[in-house]
Amino acid sequence: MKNKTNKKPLYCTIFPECYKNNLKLWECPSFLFLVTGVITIIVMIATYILTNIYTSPEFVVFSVIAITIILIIAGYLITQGVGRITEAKLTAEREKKKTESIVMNLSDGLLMLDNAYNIILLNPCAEKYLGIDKKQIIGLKTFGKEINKFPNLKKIINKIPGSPTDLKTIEENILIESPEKRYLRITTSPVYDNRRTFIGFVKVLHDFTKEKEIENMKTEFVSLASHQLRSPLSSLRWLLEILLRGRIGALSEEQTKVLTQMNESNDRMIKTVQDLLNVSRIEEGRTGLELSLTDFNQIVDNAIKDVNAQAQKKQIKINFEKQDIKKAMLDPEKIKIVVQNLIDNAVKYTKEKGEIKINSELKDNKIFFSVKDNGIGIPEVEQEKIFTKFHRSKNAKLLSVHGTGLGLYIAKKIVETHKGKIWFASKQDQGTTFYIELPTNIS
Amino acid sequence: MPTKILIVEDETALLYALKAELSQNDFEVIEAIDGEKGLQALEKQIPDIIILDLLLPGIDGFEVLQRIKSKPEMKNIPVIILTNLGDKESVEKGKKLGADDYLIKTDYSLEEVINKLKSLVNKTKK
Repeated sequence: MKNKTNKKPLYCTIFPECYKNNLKLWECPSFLFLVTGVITIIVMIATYILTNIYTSPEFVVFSVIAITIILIIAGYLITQGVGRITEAKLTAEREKKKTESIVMNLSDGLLMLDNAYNIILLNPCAEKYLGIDKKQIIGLKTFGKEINKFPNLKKIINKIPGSPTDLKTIEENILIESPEKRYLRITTSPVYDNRRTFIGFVKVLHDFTKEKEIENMKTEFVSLASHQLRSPLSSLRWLLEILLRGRIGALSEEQTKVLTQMNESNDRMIKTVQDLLNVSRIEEGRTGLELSLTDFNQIVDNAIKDVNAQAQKKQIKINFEKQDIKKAMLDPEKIKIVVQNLIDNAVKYTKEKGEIKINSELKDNKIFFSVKDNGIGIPEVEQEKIFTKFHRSKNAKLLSVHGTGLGLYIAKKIVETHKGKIWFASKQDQGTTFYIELPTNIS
Repeated sequence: MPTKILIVEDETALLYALKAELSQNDFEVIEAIDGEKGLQALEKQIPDIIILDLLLPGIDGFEVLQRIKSKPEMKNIPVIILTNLGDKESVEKGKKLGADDYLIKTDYSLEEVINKLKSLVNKTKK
């Protein structure tokens, strides 16, 4: 945002109180005094000249009346102007007191810096959070050496948002250890006066320690809950495995069938727990991405390998047309979840002897990925809900009972966290194509 | 010569499954159902490899790992953490304390776990 200053008209330099109190030229007392003076002089000269020309008494009376009227009007305008100035000053005083009271009683900390980055304001809440008396730091130069005496303050004032010609509002989280441990969210905004002149920065300090504690408790709970759910599931998984391998004696065909079905149920439960865990992690919101240089095509290749057995059972042909894509800055674990989900769905919702076409390419520094199947498609009425939590289309449920309805919800969240896009085109009984676009974050 | 493996795991079902599969793969299993018993077993004999669960009664797996790595005669034994604790912090902590691998039980079949054990033992032998 560029610093806009209105061009100061010439009269504002000559009549400074005009400028200060936002008065128009004809409201300005000094101007009126000047005009009155000039008119009086003109009228006096004119009267003198004219009385030498016109000697009639009516003329003299007329001129006196004219002068009086002009003086009365001028006087009235002057008093109006003065009155307005006084009122403006009183209103400003009242507003100032009101603002002061708000600032003093704010439940968040407030700090203000002038345009030379010196501290000009510290409200009581900020004093409490930082453990500093405002008398100690008002006027303190933030880039001087004295700020080292106040480490908390230094932590908070170490950044200027944007450059001097491009100021913006920034938010950052900081941990303060003393006088009390607090998590503070600091929002720094540039401040302009009513003429758009940059006058300084204001920093709001918001204490979110309680929210952080709740967040930590939630994370801990999810972690323990997922452990408690997974423990019996992993026992079942391995016990079924050794049974199916005949380690505890040979099995009849019927027994093998039953145990295989138990194994499949168990696998589905394990996947559901994983999905719920992913949803919980994603909904935490502030969990960031762990970006690293990732080979996208490799992730696709691995996902295709994982579904190979299932695809072969259904005699589904999978064709991957890949373009050479350089390594991109992505979170590989999370992108793996997305790619796996799309490819798994394609196989799940395509009938026997179907065909899946997978495509990846690099365009405009973005990765474009698509999975096209000729399966059951998504009915139009279900299409707008496709990315919602726990949603499963009716025709999907008819084809296979498996599925949590969380896969696409998770996929969309992951893609969007990467600042990418996900969308699809589908027609019932004809097939579906899912598309993803991901920025590579590499120039 | 069968490979000696110490398993520190409190869930009997898992211990049973692991033992059944490991004995078929030329492993000699030493069991410990908690951390203390695990450390005691280590005092008696040094195995070729250790499987360590994290959530144990008494001292937890991290504590056990720390103690193993602090003793010169034990610190070179390869350790695989086998747990269902999947949060990022635990994984980082396990790796930092010196675990050679960190596996989430539900992510692997028994066969895959055995393969990982075998390859780690072979790597250490070299």
